[in-house]
Amino acid sequence: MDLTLITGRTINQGRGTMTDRLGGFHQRNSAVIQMNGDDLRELGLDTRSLVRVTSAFGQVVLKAEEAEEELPRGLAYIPYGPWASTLVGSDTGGTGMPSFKGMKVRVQREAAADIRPATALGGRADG
Amino acid sequence: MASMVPDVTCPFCGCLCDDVRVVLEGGKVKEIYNGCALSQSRFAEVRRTENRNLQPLVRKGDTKVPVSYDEALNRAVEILADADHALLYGWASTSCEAQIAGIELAELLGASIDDTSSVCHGPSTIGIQDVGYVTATLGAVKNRADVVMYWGCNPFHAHPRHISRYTVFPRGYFRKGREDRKLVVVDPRRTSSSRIADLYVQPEVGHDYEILNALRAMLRGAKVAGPTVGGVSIETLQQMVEMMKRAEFGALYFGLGLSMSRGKHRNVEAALQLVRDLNAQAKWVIGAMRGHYNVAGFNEVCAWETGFPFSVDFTRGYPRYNPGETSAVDLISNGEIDAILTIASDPVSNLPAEVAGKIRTMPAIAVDPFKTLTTEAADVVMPSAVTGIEGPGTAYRMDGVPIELRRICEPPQGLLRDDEIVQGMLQRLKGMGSR
Repeated sequence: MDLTLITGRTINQGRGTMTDRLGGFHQRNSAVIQMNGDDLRELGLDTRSLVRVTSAFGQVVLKAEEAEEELPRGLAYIPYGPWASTLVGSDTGGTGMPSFKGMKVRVQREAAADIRPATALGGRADG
Repeated sequence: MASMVPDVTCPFCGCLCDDVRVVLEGGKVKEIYNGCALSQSRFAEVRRTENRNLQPLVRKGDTKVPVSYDEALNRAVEILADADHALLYGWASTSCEAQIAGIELAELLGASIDDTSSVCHGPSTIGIQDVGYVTATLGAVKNRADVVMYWGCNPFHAHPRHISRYTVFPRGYFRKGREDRKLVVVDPRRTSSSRIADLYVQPEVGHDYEILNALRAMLRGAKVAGPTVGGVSIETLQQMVEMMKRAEFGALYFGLGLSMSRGKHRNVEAALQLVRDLNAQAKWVIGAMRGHYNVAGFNEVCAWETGFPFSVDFTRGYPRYNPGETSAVDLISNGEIDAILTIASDPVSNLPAEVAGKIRTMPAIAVDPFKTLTTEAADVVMPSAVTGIEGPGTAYRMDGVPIELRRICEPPQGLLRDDEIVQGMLQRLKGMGSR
């Protein structure tokens, strides 16, 4: 399924970033993709499902969940962090700012791979 | 025995709430009052040591070994002085005193310096430079605003007390509280902030520029072709215009939904122009929802020290400013940087993976109280006290008001403050003679 992705803050992502960047709390709250419930069901996903999210710049495995901060169909949301950064390109269009919001991504059910911890991401060649 | 410290400033987000009460026991933070969930985490978890950097480290061979601050500072200065073009990056979650020293360090090195705002509200600053802006302190908004609009932000998650302490809920000099104020939220997501709004407007992602300019046109009496602009009906836009025109004192706060989306600084310019236009018919002010607690401070300090607010390049011996060329992401992705000092930020986690990968391949120094992907990747790690809890300083609130940060408890034994660490590098570099 092709979706438009925005990345941003959540309160638990914010809590994790200050004190637990390399730990489980941060991963549980930031290695997720929030989607509209109908989009989730169309893909046959539930809130325990893993998905592979692919952009023009990278791919990452995340847990899918129905957005509490309600999203319209076709829109997905990933909290800031190394998982989201994997999908963001470095072109700033002459502004200094990469496009963290509004990129196109493909979301597919993932059966084989697991979520990588933060320590395996952050620009690592195998990340 | 427990003791209460009143009026502590929370060093987390740009709200810089200065009414936090902290209970100390045995010199450690026991509990806090008046803080939001983010603030609770910020204060409470400082006392945990498992996530802290507690000892300076220097890479020797394949491993990093504990060393003294003296040795770490010497190695850091060696790396920076040997670089053709070093980048000093971060600065958002530290004091103005550290920022001042950092800018002097960049100038002496002939390096570039940038703060995290270049990937945050940098486009907003560019917009303000292009258009100018009508603004007010959060205190003025609390006392006067009867219409508050949030555009492209979710304060309940990113600035949890903004709505309750400064804008919509508080009793103000001319306002009784919530019943005296209208709240408008513009966001593609139906967020928790939007659920308490009097008017919720749901645009399509990346269409803010059209919507803002449609509002400007309608404000001037022009007819806008419909039925929708950027996913918003003409009727809703007309309703917004009427609310804005009727305001006695309106305040528009915008977030990264404008500065990070398609259009970037052009979106912000359109918002600034809308508020400028509104002042012909009503009283309106505008402000950016600044994220880290002193990211606004870096822009202030950098502007008064160099003439430019961020993304400053000293490689020619004088300050140059050209976001898109002298900004951190562009410098690194274009392969111009051969050493990096990061302080109070985690670019390996938060910059695009391609940029993070390049940071991993260059000599790197990281100054941070906590373990991050950036400190893991660095060749020199210098732990620091948590500014505003374990060390004093000055920070600028999101509305440009400087606020004192206090030391309420001691840092783990022997840890220096960020400003002391940067001064340490500066003094050593001066001892070597400038380049």
